[in-house]
Amino acid sequence: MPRNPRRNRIGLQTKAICLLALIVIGVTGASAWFFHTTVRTLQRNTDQQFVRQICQALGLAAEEAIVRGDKVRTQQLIAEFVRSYPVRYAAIFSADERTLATSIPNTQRSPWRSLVSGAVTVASIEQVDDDTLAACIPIVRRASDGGVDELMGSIRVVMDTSETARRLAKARQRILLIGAAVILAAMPLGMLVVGRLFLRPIRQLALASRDLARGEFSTRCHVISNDELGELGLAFDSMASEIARQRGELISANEELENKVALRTGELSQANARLRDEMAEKEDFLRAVSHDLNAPLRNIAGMATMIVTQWQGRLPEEVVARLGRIQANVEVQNSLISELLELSRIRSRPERRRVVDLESLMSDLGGSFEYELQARGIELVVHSPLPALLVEKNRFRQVFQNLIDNAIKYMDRPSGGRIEIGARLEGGRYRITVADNGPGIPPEDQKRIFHVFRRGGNQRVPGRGVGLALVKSVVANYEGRVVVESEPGHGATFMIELPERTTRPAAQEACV
Amino acid sequence: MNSTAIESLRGLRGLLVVDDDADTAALICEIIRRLCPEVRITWARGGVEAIEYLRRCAPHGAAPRPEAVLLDMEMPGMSGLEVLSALAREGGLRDIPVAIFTGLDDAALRRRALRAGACAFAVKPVAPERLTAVLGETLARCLAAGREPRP
Repeated sequence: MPRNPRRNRIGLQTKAICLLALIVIGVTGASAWFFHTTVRTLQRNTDQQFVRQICQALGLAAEEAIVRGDKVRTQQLIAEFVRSYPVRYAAIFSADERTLATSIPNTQRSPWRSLVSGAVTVASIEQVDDDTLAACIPIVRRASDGGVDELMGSIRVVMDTSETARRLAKARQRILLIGAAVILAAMPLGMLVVGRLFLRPIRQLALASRDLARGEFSTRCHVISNDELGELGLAFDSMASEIARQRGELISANEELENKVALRTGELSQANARLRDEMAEKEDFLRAVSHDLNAPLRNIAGMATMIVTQWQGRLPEEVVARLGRIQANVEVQNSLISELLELSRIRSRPERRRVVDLESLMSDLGGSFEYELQARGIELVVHSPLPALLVEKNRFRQVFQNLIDNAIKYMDRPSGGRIEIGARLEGGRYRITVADNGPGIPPEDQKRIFHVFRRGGNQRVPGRGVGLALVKSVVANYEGRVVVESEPGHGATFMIELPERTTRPAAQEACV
Repeated sequence: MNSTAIESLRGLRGLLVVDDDADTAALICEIIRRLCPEVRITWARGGVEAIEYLRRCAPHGAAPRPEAVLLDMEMPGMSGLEVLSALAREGGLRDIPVAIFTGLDDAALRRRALRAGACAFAVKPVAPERLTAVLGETLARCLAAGREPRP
């Protein structure tokens, strides 16, 4: 089923843009995440550094007060500290873990205090969560003369780093916003680039292909680029020129062929015209034969007859006999002319074909030859069944009449002569045989007997040499042939071969 | 030849035979004279001669008009078909029955002759006995057609 390629199509451009957007989003997201993580780590380090510094500063300031045990001073320092920095909780502990000063009195419950409880000997700074940084920093008095440092106490601080977290979140937001803006800005640019680099050459190729398919063989796609599409364009263009070249060759070959055909047709029509002229000449000749040859013959016969009837009984017998010979010769000449006319008309004037039952034709012929057959003691045997053929009735009657007549005329047996007629259908051809047991035909005569005026060697038998030529000519009209098989002394068999398709009644009717 | 045909020929008084061959014409005349002894036969050697003769006959002229014309086809000068159409064009000659008697056995020619007004078309046989029979039949057919009123 043909599918409309335009329906529900997701264009190459859309696909490319989606891909591009995905890539940009991925890259932007990844870089935002990377940047955010880096900045947070840096910020936390800075925060820790800052906490360490302010705690050490507080420790230095509180050292003397701790030595003196001045609680008021330490409390004062804490209060100042809390005021100066974003601190949730700050306290100064003595070396034996007593609280010297605190921003939140011990009587108050606070979640922060537990974050920084426990003994402190080394500084520890821990980011509890995004908003909270817990630091325990020992206060150490350094020995000035290479002795052991003395632990004076410790400072516990819980810093509020929510400001830092807020700033980070804000920075992250900005990065994402910038990323989105970059994507939005990149979209049209990407479309432009994709269109320029990929789609335009592809469209050019598609248009050129369509033009080529429509038969515009001079079309070229004009894709010029230094990439695979450019290669494709070059390949297309060379294909188009190759097609154009081959088409040109085809056209010129065709023209040559047409010229040749025209030439041959001309020659053929000339030959046809010549043939027509010859046919017309032949027709004229036939008219001349039938008219001009017969007219004097008619007069000779008529005059002879008139003499005989007018002078009946008053003429010598010899004169009457010679007049009879004249009439007989005229008769021979007349029937010879008729036969020649008929022979020449077989091809040029086909008769209407009708269904002829060979069996009834044979019994008919047997009737008309009855006298001769009986007089010469010849038996005519018809081997049934014989087929019915779609042929020219009179001419086929003539064919078998001639064959049987020949067999009778040449029969040399005083008795026991046989003429056998049979037929069979073999490989799409009817084979109809007329066989006799007469003297046979010598091999050298077997071909020439079918030519007009050429007779066999036995000139005793009256005949004019037209009969078998007529048989041959009639049979040839049906793409058939007639052959003779004979061995001198053993009779002769004439076989008529007719293709079934040209002579079978049902087949012919089916064709019509 | 059947008896009615012979009877109809017995009444024949005048006949014009048109044939360029003198021997043929003589033969035809002799045969017809035997068929109808009282007939007066005129022979014309060609079409022009035949038409001139017919113009001299009644009702225009003095000579008795033939009851039928036996016309050959192939003649020098004016052919049988031309004679037929010339007769058809002339008012006084249009109703003379004309039988074609020719040596040409041609179906197309037969059609053209009958369309041109011939009342019969026969091919001259060579054998004398056939010639007599065909001639008699043709003339009888032609006379029968001539006695019927023309459309």
